[in-house]
Amino acid sequence: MIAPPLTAFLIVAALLFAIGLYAILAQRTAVMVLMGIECILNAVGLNLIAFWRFTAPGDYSGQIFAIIIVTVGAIEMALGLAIMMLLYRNRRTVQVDDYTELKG
Amino acid sequence: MTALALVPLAPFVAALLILAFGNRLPARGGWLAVLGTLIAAIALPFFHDAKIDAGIEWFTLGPWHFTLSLHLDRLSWWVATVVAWVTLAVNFYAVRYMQTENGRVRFHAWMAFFAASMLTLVLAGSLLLLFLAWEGVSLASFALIAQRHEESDARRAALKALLMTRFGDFGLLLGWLLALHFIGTTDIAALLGAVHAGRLPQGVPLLLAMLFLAAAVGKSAQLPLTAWLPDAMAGPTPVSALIHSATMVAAGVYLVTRLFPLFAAAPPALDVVLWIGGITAVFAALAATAQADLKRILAWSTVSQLGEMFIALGLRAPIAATFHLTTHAVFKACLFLGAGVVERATNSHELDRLGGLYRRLPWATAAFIAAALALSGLPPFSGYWSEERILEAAVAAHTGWAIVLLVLIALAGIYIGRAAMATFGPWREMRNDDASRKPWIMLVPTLALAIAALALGGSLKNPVSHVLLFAESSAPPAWWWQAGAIVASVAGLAFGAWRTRRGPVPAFGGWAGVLGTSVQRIADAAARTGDSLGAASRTLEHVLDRLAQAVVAAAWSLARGARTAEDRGLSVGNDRLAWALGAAGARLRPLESGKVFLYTAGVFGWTLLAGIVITLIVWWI
Amino acid sequence: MIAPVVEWIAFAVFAFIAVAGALGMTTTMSMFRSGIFLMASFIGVAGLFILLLADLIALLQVMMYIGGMLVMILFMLLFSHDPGGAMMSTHMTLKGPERWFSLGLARKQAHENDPHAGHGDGMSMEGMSMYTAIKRPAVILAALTGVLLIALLIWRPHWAVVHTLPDQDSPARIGELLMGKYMLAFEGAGLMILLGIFGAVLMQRPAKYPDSSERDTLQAAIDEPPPPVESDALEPEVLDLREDDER
Repeated sequence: MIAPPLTAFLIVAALLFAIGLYAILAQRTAVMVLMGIECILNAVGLNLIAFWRFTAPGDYSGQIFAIIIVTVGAIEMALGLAIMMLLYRNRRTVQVDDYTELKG
Repeated sequence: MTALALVPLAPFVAALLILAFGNRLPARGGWLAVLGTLIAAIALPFFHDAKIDAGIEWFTLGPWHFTLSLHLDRLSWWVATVVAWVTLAVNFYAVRYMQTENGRVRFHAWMAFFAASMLTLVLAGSLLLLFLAWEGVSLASFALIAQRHEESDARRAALKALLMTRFGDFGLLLGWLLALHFIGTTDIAALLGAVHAGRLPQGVPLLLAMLFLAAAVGKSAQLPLTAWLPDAMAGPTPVSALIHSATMVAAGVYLVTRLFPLFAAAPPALDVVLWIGGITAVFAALAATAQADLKRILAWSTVSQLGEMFIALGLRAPIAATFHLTTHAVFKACLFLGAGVVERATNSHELDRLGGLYRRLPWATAAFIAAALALSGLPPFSGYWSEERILEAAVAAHTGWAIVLLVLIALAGIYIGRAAMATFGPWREMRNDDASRKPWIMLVPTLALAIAALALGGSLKNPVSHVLLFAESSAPPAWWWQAGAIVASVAGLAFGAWRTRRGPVPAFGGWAGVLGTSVQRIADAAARTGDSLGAASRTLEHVLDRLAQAVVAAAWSLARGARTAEDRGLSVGNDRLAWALGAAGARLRPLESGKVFLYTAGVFGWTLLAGIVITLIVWWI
Repeated sequence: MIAPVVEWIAFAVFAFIAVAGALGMTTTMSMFRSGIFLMASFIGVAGLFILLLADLIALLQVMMYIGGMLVMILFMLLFSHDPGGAMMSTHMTLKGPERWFSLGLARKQAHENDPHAGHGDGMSMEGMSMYTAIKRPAVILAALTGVLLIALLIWRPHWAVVHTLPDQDSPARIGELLMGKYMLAFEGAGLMILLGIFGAVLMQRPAKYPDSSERDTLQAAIDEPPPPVESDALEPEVLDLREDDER
């Protein structure tokens, strides 16, 4: 018996991606949408690390990418919080489907 | 532009200023008109040796160049100077003459405008500018004849003058258009150059000459377009003096002189000029002997003298014509101004009501007599010298024409002797004596012109040949011709004066007067024929009106039908279409709901679809 | 080396935690629980990272996501008007994972007193639902995406797998890379964080915005229909040409 192969990790990442996508589409609250995005970023990071581990373990560049993704996630969260508070101050709501001023 | 433009512009600006501020100026702007003319008159002598050809190209139309230019040579300088100084004298005179009349602002503005137009006409270097100025003087003449527009005579005379000269103006218009067609520019120098070089097709110079001759005939009141000039005496006397004797009517003569190379290239046209001038001169002189109105005598006399100038031109003696134009302008203006003094003093210019004025108006009498002697051709007065030049040409050409000229001199003596004697002579006193006003200021220009009429001929006799550079044979006629002319003049004067001893009867009986009236009758008959034609055309107009109305009605019913169709059909269809589009838009609207999750779903749905399709394609392969 | 069996067991546990945590995050009615479930998911992923011999990333995962971001997320929850999800789970009929992940949230009493209890799902309670209008299409879309990805993974697992183990001292290698080859990217990321902080701070500064009443009047002015066209008559006055007849 061999250790869990690359495909197993990738399947987990795919599941995380699908769940995150569902969260983005289905949740009304901006916080929940952000959480869905985090979920997807996690899936991407898992993908990167898995590929690094199984195809290029000698080159640590894959981990660098993962670090940068974490960075992007942190910035996204901070800005998301700021935008949300701003919207809340102006509109007294955090439901994304209430922000419909651009509708045609 | 050149400084020469100042000459016509000064009176033009004066005219504009008079129109704008005339009511607030002394003498209603009369002095401003004098000033404008004075500037032109003083400026002109400075150009005496100049040869200026300055102009601009107004616009170009295909191969045709429309130019506006001023041209100054000896001839135009000469004539312009004469015009400017005579105009100055008359304008000065008019300030006082018009003092008791209405519409003085209008009058002075038109007088200044006339001066500007006339100077432009004389100085024009392009046919286009000449034509514009030609129409300008026509307009001024029309307006000034109708100055006393309360009188129906004046109105009718103004209309008559305008319409009759219009016949000739068509000739000028067609002439310059034709010249433009053949030489591609409206420049006179170019036209004369083309004529000189023989570049024009066969017959074209003759055609052009005839067209320009028509204009000259109309403007100078030669037969058959004579009838308007005697009627034009309905205008104020300064107008008669300036426009209808000294300057404007001489424009016809000037036109022919200006284009003399063209006429010289078309000998038949010169023959026509000769014959028209001869017939008109004799005819008008005879008519003048029978008139009962001082101003009408002078008017017919003007026609006759212009005829003499035409004779001179026809005899290929443009210097003689120009010389006579000069002297005639001076002495005829003086005669009219004298008549104006008489008119102002007595309120009349009917010979019946005048007489014995030499005691009450001695200076005016002296001036009038001096000018009359000049007209009759007695030495040393100016008329003698210019008529001698014409006689010289006539003798050189044909003895018959010399005899005609002697007859004309005699006739001139007769009618002017009769007029002078009946007005001022001691035969009888005036019947109604209300001549109390003594308009001294009016005498100043009159006497100045009289002195000029006395002195000008002798002093200009030799210079004129040097100034005007026309090739002209200059052999003095034999002594008996000169003696004959003097004898004819003296005899005419004596006969004319003698005939008035028992009142101002016609010199040769009434038949001569009938000549004059007949010409006017013919013109009137032509006018009446035209009028009845116009009346007939009114019926035609009615028919056309009906037709037009029918067309309009048809168009309206068509429009109404179209509107009905639109209301019932097209507009309903359009409404349906708009409604359908709106409904479709409403259906599509949720797609642009502004909801973030829908956009996200669109992006990912599309990505998923693409992924599935690509997968299937790859799998298939 | 640990035995493959142990590795499989560890993988199964961590994978379950990661996936189930993510599922719970998105299905529970309580946003607070969502945050906790997301944390569990992060921990599962961190375990998978360790399994993949990426210790530094696992450490980073725990410190950054769990220590930093979840705090922010919990702050944000404070702005929502039902972070605990009690109202939501009381008023809705829940099925499947939603029911499971929301156990114990509902208040029995409120449920009985509410005449609308058990009436429809989230779609019918527009103002209160946690979900957008496209919940069901979203389920299908997400499921299809997952199925497609997994199908592709199983169908074509042709990656050049290298059967060597990475260096044990990976953090030191990563540090060298960050300070050497990826210096620019590293600095860029740092700059990005700085800009993000600036942006967040700037956005929170008080600024002038039209307050709601003024906005309403402006909107009313925009929505007001233009006045109707009063007349479009084109017919000009008819010229009377007959006056000449009397002449």
